[in-house]
Amino acid sequence: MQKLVDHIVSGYDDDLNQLTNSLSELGGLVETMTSDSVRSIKKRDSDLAQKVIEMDKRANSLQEQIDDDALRLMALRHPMATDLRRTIGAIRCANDLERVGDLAEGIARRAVSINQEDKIDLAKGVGRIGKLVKTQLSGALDALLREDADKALQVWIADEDVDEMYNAIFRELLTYMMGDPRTITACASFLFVAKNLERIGDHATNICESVYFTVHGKQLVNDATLQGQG
Amino acid sequence: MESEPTYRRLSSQDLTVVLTVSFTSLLGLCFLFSVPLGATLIVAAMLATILITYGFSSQKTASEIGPEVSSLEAEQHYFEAQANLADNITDAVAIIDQRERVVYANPAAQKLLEITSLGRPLSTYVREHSVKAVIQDALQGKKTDAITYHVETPTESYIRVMASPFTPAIFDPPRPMALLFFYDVTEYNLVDSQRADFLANASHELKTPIASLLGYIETLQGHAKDDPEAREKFLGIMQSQAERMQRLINDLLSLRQIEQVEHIAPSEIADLHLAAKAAIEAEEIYADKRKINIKFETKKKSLVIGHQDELIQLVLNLLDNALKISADETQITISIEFTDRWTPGQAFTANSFTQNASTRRIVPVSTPDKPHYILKIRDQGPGFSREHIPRLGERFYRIAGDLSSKDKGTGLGLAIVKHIIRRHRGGLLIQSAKGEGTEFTVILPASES
Repeated sequence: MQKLVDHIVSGYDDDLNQLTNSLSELGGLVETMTSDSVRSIKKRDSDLAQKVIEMDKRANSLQEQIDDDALRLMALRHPMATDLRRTIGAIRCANDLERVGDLAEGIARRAVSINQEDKIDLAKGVGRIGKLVKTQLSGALDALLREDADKALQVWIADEDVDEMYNAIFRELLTYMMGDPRTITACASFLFVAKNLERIGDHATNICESVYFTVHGKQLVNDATLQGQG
Repeated sequence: MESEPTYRRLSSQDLTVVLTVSFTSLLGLCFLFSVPLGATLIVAAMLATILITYGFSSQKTASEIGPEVSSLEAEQHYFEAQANLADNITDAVAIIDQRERVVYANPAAQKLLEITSLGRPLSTYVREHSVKAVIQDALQGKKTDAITYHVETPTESYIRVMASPFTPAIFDPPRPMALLFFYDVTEYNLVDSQRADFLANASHELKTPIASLLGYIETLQGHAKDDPEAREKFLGIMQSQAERMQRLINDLLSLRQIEQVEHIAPSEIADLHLAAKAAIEAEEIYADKRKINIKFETKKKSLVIGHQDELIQLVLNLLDNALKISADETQITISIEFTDRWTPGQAFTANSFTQNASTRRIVPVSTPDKPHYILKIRDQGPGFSREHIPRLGERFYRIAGDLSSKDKGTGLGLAIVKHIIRRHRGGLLIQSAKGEGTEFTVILPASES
């Protein structure tokens, strides 16, 4: 098993660890927000949706904290090579994760209004894409915290499936709306929810790109197209 | 040696403290669980605690771990030298230092938490907020109750974690650490929700054939009573409905069986080649009747880490699907290949499809860069249209086509395949194009030997 060795100044290690800890906390938080927001639609649970909306404040403040910590680390410790990329990566990923939080909050707000409508069984498709996106997000976070570029590449490639599923849901909802105009209000909301989930998937791929850059010092997009995987 | 007496005093004290603390905590645990689980946990945790404490207080003295080594390195040295005993414990045990870095993890913990390198903070592997609170308490010397958290990837599981304060005797000044025990309690937690799912699925899906059976019985009792021709016809239909119900129940049962063990990867070795052969033999008669040629030329042993019966079922289900959708007098090709190193980019590269084929990773490979066996089943059937692809493998998702009701599946075949592959930590890919046919690719980790 691989083992890490300390930097000479132990405060430096503490700072880097602190970044990982905050990223892990923010990641865990937006993961919960994503799955809870989808669950609040599936279970028609507006209280849960309200909780997700509340959580977004914590996500925002965590992102600010990571930004500050990273900036201080750069100013005081002058990180080099991997440490530098790691610090930059932390800022970039925190930004993506904060956006994921916003999107999950958006879904939760939609959930509150959807739950006031009559019950129509459209939540299944949203549940499906939600599950897939949650897997993608978890995979991206695993790759980020473990600095696992292979895992990152794997998640990055699988984003195709999210897009495909989004298109399928889009067509499905369109059919419903054409069939019965009374469903338009609800269907339009579901469209936004699906779009938000698809966007969360995109942010997961952004995180993967950052991870790849942190580990290899190269941009994943260029590398992957060179290998014919793009 | 001068430091010897001090060291002895410290270590025996330490042993008492750790044992007392763990005993009290275990008593608490005992109340939380019903007896069988409680008993197992207690015995395991007691053994682990004793082993670790004895293991760590063996021969080395403080002076051997000199102050000139940096602190994390010293801690890792120490645990490396002392942890042989804990390595053999089947429960997951990890130790974290004051800064929440993992300084020791036994193989079980490395596997359960997917720990790849020591020295990283625990939050790298566990993002759960409640776990953080528990370990912080333990690091401050406080004893807390065990908590259970839920993870969804790679498979849905529940993990119970217990943290005890732990100060190894070797360091001066003392370094308070935390000793963590992880238990996989998925079985106890998933069973309930799965049973509910199972009942809901079963009753819903059995409703249709039963309603139709009842309808025919009524007709037979009523005006078709004396019409031998109609009676024969209705009895035939009733038989096929009953057979369908039987198939459905069998599929539901095997799905449930797989689901229950899905979080435990198989450890035995199975031959994929043999499994494919067995599946082909089982379908041969049906294929011959429809003049479908099953081409399978691989002759080599293909040893994978897996369960032989489950692998047969996997190939059988895929082959069965392929046969059902294929037209008469076509061909199905099965091949097994070996790759030293599976990379995600390898998917869908070597293929016989045109540009407009849709692809999907139904189950992505969870351990890339390792040797894998790749089994492909390619048919010349009609192919799936785009909108169906994202939903394949979903329970009871059937594509209404021109299949006669006799050939209609239960909608569970691919779901079973999916769960078997997830359990084997493998991968499942599909590529399909309308008018060109379908290819399923199964990727399974090869056995090392």
